[in-house]
Amino acid sequence: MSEYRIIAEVVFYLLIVLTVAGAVLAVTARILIHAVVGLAVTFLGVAGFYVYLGSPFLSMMQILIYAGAITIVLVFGTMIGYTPRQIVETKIRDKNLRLALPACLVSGVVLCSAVVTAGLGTMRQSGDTGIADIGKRLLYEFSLAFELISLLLLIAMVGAMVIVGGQEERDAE
Amino acid sequence: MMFEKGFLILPEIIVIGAAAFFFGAAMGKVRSATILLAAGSSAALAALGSAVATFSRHGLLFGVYQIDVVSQTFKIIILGGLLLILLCTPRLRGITSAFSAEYFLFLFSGCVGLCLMTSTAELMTMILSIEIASYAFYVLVPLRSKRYEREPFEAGIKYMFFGGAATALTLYGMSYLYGMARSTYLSNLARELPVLLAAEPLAVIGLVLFLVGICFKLGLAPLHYWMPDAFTGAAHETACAIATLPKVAALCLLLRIFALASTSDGTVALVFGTMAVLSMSIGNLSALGQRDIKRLLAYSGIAHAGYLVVGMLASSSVGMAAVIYYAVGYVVMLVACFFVLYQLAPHGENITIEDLHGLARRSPLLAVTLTVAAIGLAGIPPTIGFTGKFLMFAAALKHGWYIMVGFAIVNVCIAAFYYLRLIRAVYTGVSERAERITLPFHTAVSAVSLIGAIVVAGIVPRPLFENVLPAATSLLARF
Repeated sequence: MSEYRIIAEVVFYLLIVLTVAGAVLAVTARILIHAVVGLAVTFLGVAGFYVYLGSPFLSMMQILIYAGAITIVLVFGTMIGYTPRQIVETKIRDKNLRLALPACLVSGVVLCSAVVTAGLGTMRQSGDTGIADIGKRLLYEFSLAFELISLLLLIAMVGAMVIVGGQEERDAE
Repeated sequence: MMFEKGFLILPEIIVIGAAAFFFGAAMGKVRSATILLAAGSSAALAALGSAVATFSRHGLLFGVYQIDVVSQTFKIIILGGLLLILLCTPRLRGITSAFSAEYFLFLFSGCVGLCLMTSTAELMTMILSIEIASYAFYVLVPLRSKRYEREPFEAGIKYMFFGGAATALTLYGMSYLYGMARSTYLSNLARELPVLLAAEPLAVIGLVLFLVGICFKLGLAPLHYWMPDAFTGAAHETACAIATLPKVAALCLLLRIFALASTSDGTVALVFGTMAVLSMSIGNLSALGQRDIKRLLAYSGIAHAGYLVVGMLASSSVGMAAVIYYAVGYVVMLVACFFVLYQLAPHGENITIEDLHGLARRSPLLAVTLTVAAIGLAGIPPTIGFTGKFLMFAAALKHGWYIMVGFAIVNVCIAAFYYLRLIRAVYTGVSERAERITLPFHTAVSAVSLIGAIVVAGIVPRPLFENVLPAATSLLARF
């Protein structure tokens, strides 16, 4: 095994630790902004996996959109809604924990056993994942999907505006 | 050539056009209910007509969008249901009047999504059209009038979060399917899936997770938690639309995928059989204790999702046709129930069983409408509810699902109890409110037509059944 491969494997396992640690922090943090940071770390870890899966483009998009834009929106939301040091009541204890743990265990065991018994041999790498190929697919076979996304975003945006912005009109009645 | 194919998507274009019109109306602050209703119902009628006219098989846009007898049959049911809802609830009593144009905007954009759902032949397009419909319907829930301060928002948020989680699971399942079949086209999946399902446990997990989002729309247990809260939180008009239209479109997708995976036996069928039994039992047993009629109808809707799956598992063309036939009946019966609620609540307030007391004296016609709808939902002859259930259960028995049909029949008996309790409240309850409800002429006509539709389609099922049979046959013989 060449030293490059060893380095690559070490980095891969580091990424796993980072992703899981970020997720655990996001769920258990008592200060809300810490949870956001944990989530951002998870996003970055997932971006690392995409590199290992052979899609640097997807990885860049993950960093740009999730680790960048979405995290910023979350930070904004947190800062507007709470004072940053405010401690939120985490509801991970007691009843919720008793319900969540079995749910996670069952689904985890089912998925893991299926993966272990069957192996991922049938999961084939889907050919070319370069930017040119993605662009071509978006304008040919996924052209309708591409257009539908704009319709979906329009509906979601107008909906948000009506619900939030329309409150004054609602109150005026 | 180009325009010829453009003609095929005329129904969608008309509905999108109507949504654009309502967008303009919302911008221009048009609030006249008459204008909006006239525009809405004429658009729905035009779309319905063009759906009837475009009954030929074509693939559009690289085969992503498919116009065939299945899609057009379901589009006719959806658009017909939309028209029925618009005509039976003509004035938006439960919606803030400042939002009338917005209400129609989101109702119609939701229907765009539903029409797209019936025609998609590719997974990405499918999930996007499901989401278009979902987002539009999420927004409809909190538009309720100010009488209810908190519930509509809570209901809307619950609906959205459960929906979002279901979509996430669907996407996760889709990634497994794509990883194995290496295609998102249903025609390719139809070739690969039967083999994969037999050999790979991961394919079974992928397919079941993928169907989670669709079962959520259908309200099948254990994905039913949103329904009671969304129904009680939403206005009657909204609840009526949410209870009927997305279910029909979801049923279309479920039937398509179920047919193409040819999973009449095996693990996936077993999973769905279990979900059907769960759905019927949870729905009916929970409905027994409900006082709020909309909550009761929500639980009965969960049970009905179970009945529909029983018919689907028969996986014969007669079984599938019975499911489509029953779906039509379900839309009509539910619209009839909500029509009565709407008439009873001049300001869109929620109705409990106590509010029904003495209805037979206050308005005999409404009492009869509710009675006919309730015995239809309970599955008592001579209504469409009885005929549909009979056809579905008979088809499932023929396939050998004895235990499941046994559960279904026990459940029908349990359900009869709470539907009959409604009827008892209507006829024997005593109420201090004695003022008569006078119905305008057009409302009386709607009531009589709803009663007529439920009874006539039950006594003479052949015309309707034979019209949906080609869709069922083509579902099973598609690729």
